[in-house]
Amino acid sequence: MKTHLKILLFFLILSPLVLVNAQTKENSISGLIKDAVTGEILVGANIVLYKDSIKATDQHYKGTTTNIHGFYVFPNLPKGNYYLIARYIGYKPTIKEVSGLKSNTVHFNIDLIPGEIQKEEVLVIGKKSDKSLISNLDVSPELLSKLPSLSGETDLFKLLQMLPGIKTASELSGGLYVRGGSPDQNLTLVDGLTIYNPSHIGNIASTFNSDAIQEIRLIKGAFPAEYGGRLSSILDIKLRSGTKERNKGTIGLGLINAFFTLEGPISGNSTYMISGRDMYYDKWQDNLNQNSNIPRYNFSDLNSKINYVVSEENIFSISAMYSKDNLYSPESSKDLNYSTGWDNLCVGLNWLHINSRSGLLTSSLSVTNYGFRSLILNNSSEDITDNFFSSSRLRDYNLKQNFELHLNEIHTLKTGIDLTLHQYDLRYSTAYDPLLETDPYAGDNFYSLEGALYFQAESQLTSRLKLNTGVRLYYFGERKYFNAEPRLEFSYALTENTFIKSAYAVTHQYLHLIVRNDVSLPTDLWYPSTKKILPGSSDQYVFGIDQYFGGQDYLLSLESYYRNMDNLYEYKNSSQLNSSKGTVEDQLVKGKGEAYGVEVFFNKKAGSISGWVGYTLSWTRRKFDDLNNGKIFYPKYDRRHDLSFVLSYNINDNWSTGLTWTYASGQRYSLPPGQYMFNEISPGTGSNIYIDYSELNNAQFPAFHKMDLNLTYKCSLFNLPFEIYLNIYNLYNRQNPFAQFVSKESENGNTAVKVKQLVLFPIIPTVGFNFKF
Amino acid sequence: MIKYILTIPLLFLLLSCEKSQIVDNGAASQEVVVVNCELDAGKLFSSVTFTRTLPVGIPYDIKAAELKDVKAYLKINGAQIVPLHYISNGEYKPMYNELIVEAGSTFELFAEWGETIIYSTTTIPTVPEINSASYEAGGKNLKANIKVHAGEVYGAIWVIGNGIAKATAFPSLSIPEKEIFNINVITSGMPAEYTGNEFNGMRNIQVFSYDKQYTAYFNSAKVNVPLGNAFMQNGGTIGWNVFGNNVIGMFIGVGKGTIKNVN
Repeated sequence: MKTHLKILLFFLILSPLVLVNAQTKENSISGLIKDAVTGEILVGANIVLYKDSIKATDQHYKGTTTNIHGFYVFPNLPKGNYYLIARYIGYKPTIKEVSGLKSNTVHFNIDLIPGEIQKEEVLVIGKKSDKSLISNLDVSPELLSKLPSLSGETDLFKLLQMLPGIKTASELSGGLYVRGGSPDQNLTLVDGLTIYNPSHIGNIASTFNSDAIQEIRLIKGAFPAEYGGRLSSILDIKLRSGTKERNKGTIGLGLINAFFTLEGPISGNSTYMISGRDMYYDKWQDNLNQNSNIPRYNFSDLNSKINYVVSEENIFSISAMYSKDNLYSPESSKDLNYSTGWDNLCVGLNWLHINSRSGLLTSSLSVTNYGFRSLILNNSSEDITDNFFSSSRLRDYNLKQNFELHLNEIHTLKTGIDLTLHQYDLRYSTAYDPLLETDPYAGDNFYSLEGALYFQAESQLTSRLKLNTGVRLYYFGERKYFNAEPRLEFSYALTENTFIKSAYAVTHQYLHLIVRNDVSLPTDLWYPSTKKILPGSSDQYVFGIDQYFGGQDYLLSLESYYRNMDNLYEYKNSSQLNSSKGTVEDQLVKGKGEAYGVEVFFNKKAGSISGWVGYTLSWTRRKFDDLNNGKIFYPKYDRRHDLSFVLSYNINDNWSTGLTWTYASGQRYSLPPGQYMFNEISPGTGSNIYIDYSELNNAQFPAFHKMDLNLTYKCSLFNLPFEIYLNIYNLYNRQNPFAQFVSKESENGNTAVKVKQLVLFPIIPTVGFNFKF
Repeated sequence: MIKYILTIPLLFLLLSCEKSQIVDNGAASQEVVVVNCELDAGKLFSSVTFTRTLPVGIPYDIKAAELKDVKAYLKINGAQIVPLHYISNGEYKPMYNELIVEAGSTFELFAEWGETIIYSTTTIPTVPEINSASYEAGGKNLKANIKVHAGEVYGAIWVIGNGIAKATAFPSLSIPEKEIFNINVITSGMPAEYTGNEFNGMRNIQVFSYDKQYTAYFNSAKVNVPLGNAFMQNGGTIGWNVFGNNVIGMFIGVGKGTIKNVN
């Protein structure tokens, strides 16, 4: 514990708070850009600065955009009079004058008034705020409502999976597989809170309630030093703060789910937002077809935020997120009973502070409580060790501080600390006994301290060349691992509309998600790095070219990537999960992986017809000495080709449509190439037919392709805005396989072993309507 | 503003349309030689079976699977050569049915089928002798204490009466560590119906000994069992002890102890 305290002290000494007080004093104008009606911050708003006078013919003096906190700053300004013009899509441009800037810093928050939304500009996906960032996508929550889906509510993850480089494992899975990484290698942050398992399963409902989302940012790889702790990618989501206008509500009631959002002012400078859902799809499944083998599923979730603006320089907020999912076997499943559940509870206190020198300090203190339980009872076997039980309960106590300082026009410095005390309670066995869940001594308990310190410099070295350098230093307490992660990214503007970019990053991950590859159901077990289980590591290289056309309405982006991964862990062959066989560590095998590919992304960002085409050519490989006879194999989610097409078309003032089409190489799986008869070794009895799996994931399903369509009609009903829509899922009824399995069947008195595949979702049309008052 | 959304999936019944289809995997078929032999300590050598895998999707037919033209022989203790001859259904036996499998001896299998070379070796374990037998886990399991021999692993089953019911699998193997002379071997739990007083005096234990190579097979044998469920598949590598390109199988020495009553 003393060592932990020393480490803690080390990080605190280097805390950004120290840097806050080490700044030089310069003239600057800074502030937040917000919605004048709701008070929500606006990310990616453009602000241009004119000096002394403002004329249409004048070139602006300086320009910038708001960051993810809605913050802008113009550093190092000479004395004088200034005019600020702030613009944001869907808002009226606003001009503000700052007269007589002398030797001081002016905090100037700007409230933009919503205006007539120009339809041509609504669809936003791509590089909204900074064209120089590589592998970085900002997604507008508005886009979610424009695309087709099964339940009428588009799943955020499904939308992301339409982007190049992002895949799914199967039609039921909700996790993101980004550039050859598994879902645990993605860091999901909601208002800075780490969410271990953000997925709701499959196409049923949205991962997050879109009414609660303010901003979505995805970084597909080689992320800057301000992010870390995962190998693959970052999904950074900001929740809305709630409107300051008046109390408002959204209440929805559907056949499979119900939801609500309430928001409004608490006092003159504080607001609240609370949003929740309950999904009862399992009730419908039982009523419609009791013999269906589709797993029964329900979930509920709650997102909430309280925002308190103490002053123009200090904003406090409390964010909370809760979710609980249950997946269980239908009564018709006689041979296999399963019950899987996961829950997230995260609460965080955030403080945003703009100091007297235009430095932006963000701090958060949070608690995360995540649990995952998986129980599989194989009733077809008399051997109790054919069952599976695992339970992992993680509690994280986290302190974060980030400080952003615009030193001058050229350099912006970011630094921060991230301290987490992890507490784990892990239980697992292949022989299930209810005592495993209640006995306080049945689990393995771990405590470990994870600390990170980063420095990041964003430098506009010339008008064309932008450089982002950084380093992230890590400490992980279980084994006292120290690691340094250099990060480098540059962007060079060949022309006003052509950018070449490249990035390099080293990343580490100290928490491993161990899953069973022989089970299509979730079997997550999070396991920390220990003496035996080494931290995962990855080197990532990205190179890309962006070309804008037609006044930047069109973007053609080409990116190539390579990443190697070391210290990946999987269950070994026929793992024996019980205490007599040692800890779970003894049942894991270590391996390596690599992923590389090329992504093409053509995005039409404006106009009545907008959308994109994305294509990925990629390879993902794994090599474990103790799996697949030591030979290289492809994980399930390896896809050689992945093509997606997304279209949104505003036909006229009343009609609009959305269309998506995806094509991907089929999911990999282990296909037994042969069957054989074998006399069981004593004390087994007699001969049986078995199947021979010669290689892991040696075959592929047929290619997956599917088209979904959404058609919306807007009109007035009783003087109220009214919408009616039609969604058609799997428009041309493609029979995409969800899983394969081997089954013994009798044929004319003979037993035949057959490989079967299961198709889950045929064409499914749904209609719905909504109105507002 | 209050917004009501009602979603009416008109044809939600179609969700019940999940269907399973037969996959044609003819192109993926790969022929593998399968060797099967259990050498029973103290008993006559029975046979070695040589077959090949057949593609899945067709009924299994031993006539299509058997290999009739394998050249095979046994080498015992590195000296004695015993040729094996095809009998039927892929079975190969010595010319004369008088080969005793003696505990402690080493049996090697040499075989050729076309260009496929097949090899395996096993040491025949001693037939286990029980020092003492007792109940375990409140009478649910049975336990035997036996003398340990080098290179052997052990498993035990419960047997009711003269075999009206018995276990067909071990819960685990007992693997002696070095410098140990005796070891406990425990059966799986008996069904509740056999733990009552009416079966007093009828509960027996039988211990099996194996060449230690059996451990890898025991730990992995289940991965090739077809489960017939879409949500849980098998697959993986079995710890065979027969070697060769595209060759799988077991050629293993087994010692079957006498059945002992547990009072």
